Amino acid sequence: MKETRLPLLFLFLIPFLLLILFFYVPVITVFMTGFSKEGLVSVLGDSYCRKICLFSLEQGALSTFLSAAIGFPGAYILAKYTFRGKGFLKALITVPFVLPPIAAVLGIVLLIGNNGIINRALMALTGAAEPPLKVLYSLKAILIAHTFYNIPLFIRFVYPVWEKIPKSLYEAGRSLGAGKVRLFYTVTLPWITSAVVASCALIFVECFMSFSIVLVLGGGPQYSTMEVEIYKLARTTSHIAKACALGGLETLFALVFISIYTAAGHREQRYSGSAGRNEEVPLKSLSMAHSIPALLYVLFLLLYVALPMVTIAFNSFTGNGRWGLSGGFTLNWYTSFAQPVMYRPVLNTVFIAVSTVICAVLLSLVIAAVISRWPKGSFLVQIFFFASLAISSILLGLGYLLTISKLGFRPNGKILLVAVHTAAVLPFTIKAVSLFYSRINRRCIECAQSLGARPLRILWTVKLPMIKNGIFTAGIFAFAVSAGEVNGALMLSPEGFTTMPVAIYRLIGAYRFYQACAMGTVLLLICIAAFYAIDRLGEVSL
Amino acid sequence: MKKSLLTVLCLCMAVSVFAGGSKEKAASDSDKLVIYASDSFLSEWGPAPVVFPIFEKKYGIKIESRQVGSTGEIVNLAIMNKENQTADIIIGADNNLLSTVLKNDILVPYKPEGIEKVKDDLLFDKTYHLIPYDYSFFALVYDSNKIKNPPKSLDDLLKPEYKKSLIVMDPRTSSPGLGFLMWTVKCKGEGYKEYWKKLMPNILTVSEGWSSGYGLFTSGEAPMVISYTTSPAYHVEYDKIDNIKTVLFDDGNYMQTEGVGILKGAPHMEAAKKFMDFILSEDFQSEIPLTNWMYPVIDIPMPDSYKSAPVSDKPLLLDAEDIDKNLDSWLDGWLKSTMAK
Repeated sequence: MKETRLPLLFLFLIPFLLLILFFYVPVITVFMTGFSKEGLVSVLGDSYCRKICLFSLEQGALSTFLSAAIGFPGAYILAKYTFRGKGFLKALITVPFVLPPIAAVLGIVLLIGNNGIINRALMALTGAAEPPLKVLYSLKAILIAHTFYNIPLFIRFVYPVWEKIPKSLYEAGRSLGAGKVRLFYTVTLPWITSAVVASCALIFVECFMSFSIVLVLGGGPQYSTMEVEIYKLARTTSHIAKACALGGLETLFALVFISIYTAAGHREQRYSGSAGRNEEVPLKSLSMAHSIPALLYVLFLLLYVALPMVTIAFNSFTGNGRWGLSGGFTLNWYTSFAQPVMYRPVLNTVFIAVSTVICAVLLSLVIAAVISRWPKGSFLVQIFFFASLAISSILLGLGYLLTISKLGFRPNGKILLVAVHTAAVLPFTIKAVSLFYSRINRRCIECAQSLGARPLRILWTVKLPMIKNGIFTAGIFAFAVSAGEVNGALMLSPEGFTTMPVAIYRLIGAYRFYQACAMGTVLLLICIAAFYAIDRLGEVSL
Repeated sequence: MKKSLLTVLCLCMAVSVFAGGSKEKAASDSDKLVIYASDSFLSEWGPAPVVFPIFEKKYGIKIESRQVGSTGEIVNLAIMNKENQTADIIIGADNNLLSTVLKNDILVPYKPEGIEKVKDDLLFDKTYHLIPYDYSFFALVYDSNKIKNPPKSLDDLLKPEYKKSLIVMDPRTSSPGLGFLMWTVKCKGEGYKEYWKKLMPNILTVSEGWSSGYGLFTSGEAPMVISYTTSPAYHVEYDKIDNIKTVLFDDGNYMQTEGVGILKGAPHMEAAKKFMDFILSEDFQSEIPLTNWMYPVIDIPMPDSYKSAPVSDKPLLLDAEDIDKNLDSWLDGWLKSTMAK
């Protein structure tokens, strides 16, 4: 290792400070302002609080199990097969990430609700007076919405790892006489276990802290999560202590799972880092003849993920002066994009998301380099960056307000927003990049060094090509999370600066439901286009 | 090369966070007014983009607005910043928040010009800390294509014919939700718990906020929703449909009056007073009906669409101190009633 460590460590300070500034300072400010022993006692002594803690855990576990179980075949198919439209499918399964919960909820409601497309079709077919399909406003509905978000997440996390299993391992296994089943248990499963565990832990945390989906689709307070209770308590200053206590409890639960998530990623890197040759198994083509179940599954996945979004798009063409889905066809909502009120949010969102991608990817590269150089401390480094996933967004929001008000002035909103989005996506992007970074074949680098290549040349010609998939995955995640983020954008945007998810909320708040659907559709299209482009770029350039 | 470029880039980013901030601070401090307002007030489709320029032109004072989320959060922030107030005005604290505002002593009283034009029963704060700028009534809004006999009272709403037909909001997270709970408390007293237990079969879902609840209603999930008496006016004005109606209840309708006040320690006190006068002027008031979808507090000609938005002659209100004392126990009671199956 001839590279000097000093500049790297210096660079490492930037993400480190970023996170301290935008995550740890606000969170600690809230807890210092509000946390008290009385608060904790009042939470633990409250039977309602205990009940929602249990329900939060229960629905989180169910959602995680279903997402993983249904997503598993999808990860397999994407890792092993090539087929027409695979690029599109990969782009599509990333899109739910950008959908603000309110839009996802409305998409699902418009599809399978009492007055949804499916029920109306069934009623027209059977002549029934009552909607035959009644799944909404129950635990089932919560699970449907959570799996809509998280089956794609599971696939997105697991298939790139699966894909990377070196051919040599299978060859070695086969030469020792192992059959298909044995190869699965001895080669595939150990290789992907960490990715599976990590994504499950992450899915669990997301569902555990879910807020509007649970409340709207669950049907009421009998299905409520801790996040709702924190929101309610944080609204009035006299309850901040209790809110902090409950927030602390929630954070504790979430931290346990974030640690599992981090540890799993950690183990994965060590495991796969020892692999020898990096040649992948060539993809099989998925054709009608030998894989009808796989084709059916792809079709199912396509429908499950796409239909709620297609329904939003469908609604954006209706509602011209008439009520409900039967409203006439109109392009009104799209022609309204000629006005600055509608097109500016589009430009703003793209600007913020692209800036976030650039910052997040660069910083992740630095952190990945540090982690690979300093394996002993890597777990601590990761936990430090991943902890931001475990904190309630409501408490974090409160923290921002408190911190900014103590600051006495308002920093530049756009830069602040990019910084907050970067801090929020770093857990994902660090994971994606460092996973591949740790797999860089040392021998290739030594080879290059012996041929006289300098560090930068090695970075460009050896390292980057080896981690490009990680970088592209990281870029996609950063774009998606940033484009769909609402809370930070609401709180930190400078005056007159609106992003698309915020515009969606405001349009619905101003009774403009169909226009909101149009805005949602444009958000979805931009993201599908961006992901598709990033994916293509990844395949073509190297 | 690449790395040094990266260093420069990141440093620039880190520096500009602060540089950008201090630049803003350096901007001229006189002729300025800093306002805390709710997201919906400041939204592109809300009143701010229309009324703020009128004020700026009229008085030559630049408005700097800070959106904070809901009105509850605004009051929270103002309380937390009490010792070092950087804003001058808060817009949106309503009658439910009055006691919180007074108790925490965050406002200074001011009697704006034109206050005599405001109807007496709208002046919900007789101490003039909060001055009303608009009001409406919480109400049942329904689709008359689906509901032929709308309920005319809280008791009617319990009828089995409305099974799973109503969307309400969670009073813990939404102000129409809270308003509806207060409404039942006002009319039923301690019996409100029993009322909610009986109402549960008719509720399709409890949404977390007005937006998602009204969105569900708009997409045809349920034919009835808790909203405002002024809601139908929007559909008449912009959707050109008249089947979205509201009904005044025999019990009366619970009222919401939104107010504006000057923060104690406001750095721009003179500008703030001018803004308070402006709030009650026709310039401001005439924009309220079609941007904030509420009634103005002074007598001015109304848009035609407001024929669909009847004003209740039986406004209901709970005493501010009562609310302050009992809110927690009401919310608890509500929670227990809705959870009992």
